[in-house]
Order: sequence, then C-alpha cells, then structure tokens
Amino acid sequence: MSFYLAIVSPLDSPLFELSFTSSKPSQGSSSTSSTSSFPSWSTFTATNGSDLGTDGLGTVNNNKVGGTLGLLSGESKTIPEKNRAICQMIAHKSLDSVEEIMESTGNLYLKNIDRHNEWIVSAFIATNVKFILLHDIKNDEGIRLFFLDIWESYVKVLLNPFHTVNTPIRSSAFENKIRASAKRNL
Amino acid sequence: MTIHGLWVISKAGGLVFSRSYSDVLPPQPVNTILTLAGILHGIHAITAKLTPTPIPGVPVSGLESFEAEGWGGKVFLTPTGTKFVVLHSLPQAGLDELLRRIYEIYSDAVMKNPFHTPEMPINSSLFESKLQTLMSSVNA
Amino acid sequence: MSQSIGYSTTPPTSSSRFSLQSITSSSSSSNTTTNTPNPPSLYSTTNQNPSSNRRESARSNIIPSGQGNSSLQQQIFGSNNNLIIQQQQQQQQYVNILDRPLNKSKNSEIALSSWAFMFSEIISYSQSRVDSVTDLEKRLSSLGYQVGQRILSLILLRNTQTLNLKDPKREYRLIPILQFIHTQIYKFIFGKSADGLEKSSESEDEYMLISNESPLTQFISVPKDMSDLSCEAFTAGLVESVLDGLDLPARVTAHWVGDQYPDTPQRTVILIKLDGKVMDREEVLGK
Repeated sequence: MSFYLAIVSPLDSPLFELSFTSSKPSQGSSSTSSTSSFPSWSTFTATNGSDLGTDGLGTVNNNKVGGTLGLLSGESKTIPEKNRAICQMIAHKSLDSVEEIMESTGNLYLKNIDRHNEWIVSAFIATNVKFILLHDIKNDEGIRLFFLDIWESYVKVLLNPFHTVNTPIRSSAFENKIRASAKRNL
Repeated sequence: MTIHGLWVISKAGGLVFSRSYSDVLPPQPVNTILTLAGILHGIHAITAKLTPTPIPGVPVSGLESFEAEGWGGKVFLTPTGTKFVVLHSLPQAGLDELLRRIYEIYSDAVMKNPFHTPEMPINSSLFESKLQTLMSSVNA
Repeated sequence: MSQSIGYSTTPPTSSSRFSLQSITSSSSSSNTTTNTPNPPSLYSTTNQNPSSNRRESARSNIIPSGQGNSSLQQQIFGSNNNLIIQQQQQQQQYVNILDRPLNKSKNSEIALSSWAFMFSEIISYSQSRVDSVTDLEKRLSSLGYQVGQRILSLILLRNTQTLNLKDPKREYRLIPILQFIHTQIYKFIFGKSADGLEKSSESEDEYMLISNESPLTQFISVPKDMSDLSCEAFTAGLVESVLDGLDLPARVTAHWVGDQYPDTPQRTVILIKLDGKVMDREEVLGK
C-alpha cells in the first residue's frame, strides 16, 4: 500500500508532501497490485516492501534507497526523484477536479475524485487549503480518519502566529504526527 | 450640586482639556484658564512637599480641594500623575464617585484611542460626548 | 515537606542565603570565606553567595537518601531541591504545539481593555508606517485577514469535533455562508452576533454586515482630518479572509455611517462586494 500526501496552498503552491507505505494487508484481492500490471516507475514500493520515502532523518526524497529499486530499471539514482515528480503531477492535476467538485458540495471529504493508472485521488478541503492523498487501495473510512487527524495538526500549525497560509511546512514534528496517524488509520 | 467645569492637567502641568458645563462662573479666556491650571499644578506640587514627617506607607498627596464663595474645586490625582479638577457648586456630595467615573471615561476614550498622544491636548469626540452625558445627568 | 513547599514558588532570596550562611558558620564551618567576623552588610552577603551556592549544591547530593533530615536541613536544602523540580516542570511545559490540546482555550476570553490597548498600539504602529488613510486601512485589513484565516480553520475544526460529525460539512452557498459569518464568526470573536445582515438595494452583488457598536473600536474616536478612516477595516479584512476561505472571493470594506444614525453614533457597515465569479456560480447552482 503506497500513499502520497500533498498539502496545497490557496495559491496552488505546494506546502507539504510526504510519501509513505502502510503495513496493513490489502483489503481483498480486488485491490490493485502495485507492481504487477502497471509500469514500475509509478510505484513507491520496492518488491521487498521498503519505503522509499523515508530514511532516519525523515526527508521525503532520498536517493540512498534508490539502490533497492535499481533492479527495476537500472537507473538507480533517478527513480525516487522520478516517482516523486509523477506523484506531484498527479496531485496537482487533480486540483481541477477538486475545485470543480467543491463548488457544488459542502462535504469536506471528497473521496475518490480522480484516477491515474493505479493511483486513486482523494481530497479534503477544510478552508481553501487542500489536502490531496494519492492511494492505491480503497479504504474510505481509514482515509477519512486520517484526514481528520492531519486537519487537526494542520490547524495547530496554522495557529502559530509565525506561520502563514502560504508558508511551506518544514516541521519534522508535523511529519511525525502524520506518520503516526497513517500508522493508526491506513 | 452643579458641576461648573472640568480641567484635565497633564503630568507636566499643561492643561490638556477644559470644558465648562454651566454658566454660573464667568467664562474666562483660554489663556487665563491655562495660567490658573498652571498655578494649581504648582500649588499641588508644593503642598505635596509640605509634610515634614510623612507617615511611612501612606502616600503623600498634594492639594485635594479648595473653596471660594459659593463654589469650590476638587483635585483628583491619578497614579500616573494626571490631574482632574472639577469646579462645583457648594455644598457638594458624591464628588468622589463622579471623579471615578470621569477617570473611567478618560481611560476608555482617551487612553485606548490610538489617535491620542500622551501629554498632548485631548481631541476625542468620544471623550467629550461621554462627559457631556455624565455632566448633564449630574447637573439635571 | 510542608516547610520546603513554602520555598517552591520563590527562588532563594538573598536573605535565605544569608541565613544559611549564618547557620553554617555558627554550627560547623571553619572553612567559611569570611574574613570579617561580622558580615551584616548586603555587600558582603552578595560577595559570598558563590561559596554558599557551592556548598548548597554539594550537600544537595545527600538529600535523596536522607529520609530523616532535620527540619533545619530541610529548610536549607528544600529550596535547592524545589528548584530542580521547578526546572523539570519548565521542561515539561515545552510541549510541541502539535501535542497540545486544541480546545483547552475554547471558552477562555481576554479582557476587552487589554485588547483595546493592544489594538490602539497596533493602529499607532501602523499609522507611523503609512502615508495615507487608504494605506492604513489596507494594513489593518491585511492584519485582519490573517486573523480570519486562523479563526475560520479553528471554528470549522471545532464544530466538526464537538458534533463528532462522521462526514464533516461546510457551507458552500452564498446566503448560508453570510449567515455563518453573521452569527458564528461574530459570536466567536465579539461574543455576540452582528446587528444586521442586509442586501444592498442598489446592486445584486453587495451585502452589508452591520454592527451598531463594535467592541473592537468602541473606544476610538477618529480625528476630523481622517474622517473617512474606519478602524473596522480590521474586521473587514477578517470577513474577507473567511469568505476567501470558503471560496467566495469578495472585496470587503468598512464604512462608518454613524452620522446618519444619531441613536447609534458608532454604527459601522461592512460592505461585501462579491466577485463576479461568485454570482455566476450562484446562478448555476440555482436558488
């Protein structure tokens, strides 16, 4: 199970991104296997299940782990970078759909609004800051709880007078919160 | 009791506000009031120094009131040194309460007004209108 | 412990240090650094503080094991002990903002006076950095805008959490949003809802929020040469950011209309002029 979370400012600039995997087993066989039927460049998980998004320091894109993916393409160093870029593009591409849908609904949680290959896009609109989550299995309830969690964390960050809506979030504590919530809910 | 007028004297002794609320006392030119306020400030400062052995713990204050034929004045000194002087008819009652009310209006309408410069003449329509209401309720 | 609790709130004062020194010098010590036999002056006390401190810290090592300390020792060392506890408490207070409960301050209010003084300073500060009334209003408005962004997020989150909504919602139609501002937002900030919400009779895309006496600016009287300034520009910016946050771009301005209403001389109108896009969308969504 791979996930990619992006928080996008009202000016459509990226505020925060994080890719992570979950350890929970997939729900049933209907979920898309991330390595079999789709091009390998669009996945985050190597065959051994290692998480490409993390290392000990919590940086999102780290080329060190590229080595594990070297088996897949041969261009070991560029793979995580490429994956990250693709996820960024998918997330921002889906902004159009998000804006279209939010005009006519009062729901904060917009589930499964877009698809791109094996990625499903869900979004959460609290105010004019958008949380976009790319996931490869359906898990509506878990994702809803996850969104509510990160929303609370985000509001706490926002209440900091030294933070503005358009400031990228660099707090490692925020990242840890999200990882913890992902572990609980996803 | 009738209130004839109110002066506000700044810490430095300058008259920053003066209004007349009755026509019992003959109106004075502004310069005269300025001089009178300056004299009052001086007397207040001198009287504050006249106690030879002040009782420890009790703050030494200056002139508190003065009386003339048919009218008098009461001085109220704030902790920050601003003086309110009320000119009133005799006999008087409830002056302390009135001065507290004036102080409250001053704190609200003058000190919380961003367009007021401390120690400068008070130029607040809110202050004037609130005082007017207060005084007409007393004088009525 | 009761004796040592007495020390816990205050760090050891010079007098307690002094008493410590006199006690030690009288009871046991031959190694005091005093050369003068009688050190009553403040100067000599402060001078000898380092040595007495060292002694305190050296002895404090004994304390954890010492159950049967005499009351005298407790008195002396209690202060030191409790200092350590204080430090620990202080460290515990440095909790990450993300771990702090969000609703602790839910029902707390701040004194109007403290706000009034701060707002007064904000205006004076801004005024010294602008050239014109328009710029001053812009500055106040942008400050209000930042406040509004935070308040909107917080209110939405709290509403969701208190009602424990499974599927949280927000308003997305024009009129409910305006009512949300009129009641909920105003109540959150000012403790009461706005005094009126009206639609402009002149144009379709203008709405007005009316307050007869705003707590924010009730103590302010604007000098005559700046008579077109309204310090409610702060509220206008706040309203604008809430509208923006709910995807209703608008231009919001504040206007003082007290001269037309003798009963409420501080009456202010927050004029909301909605973006054309909003009106188009409302038309598509229908009534």
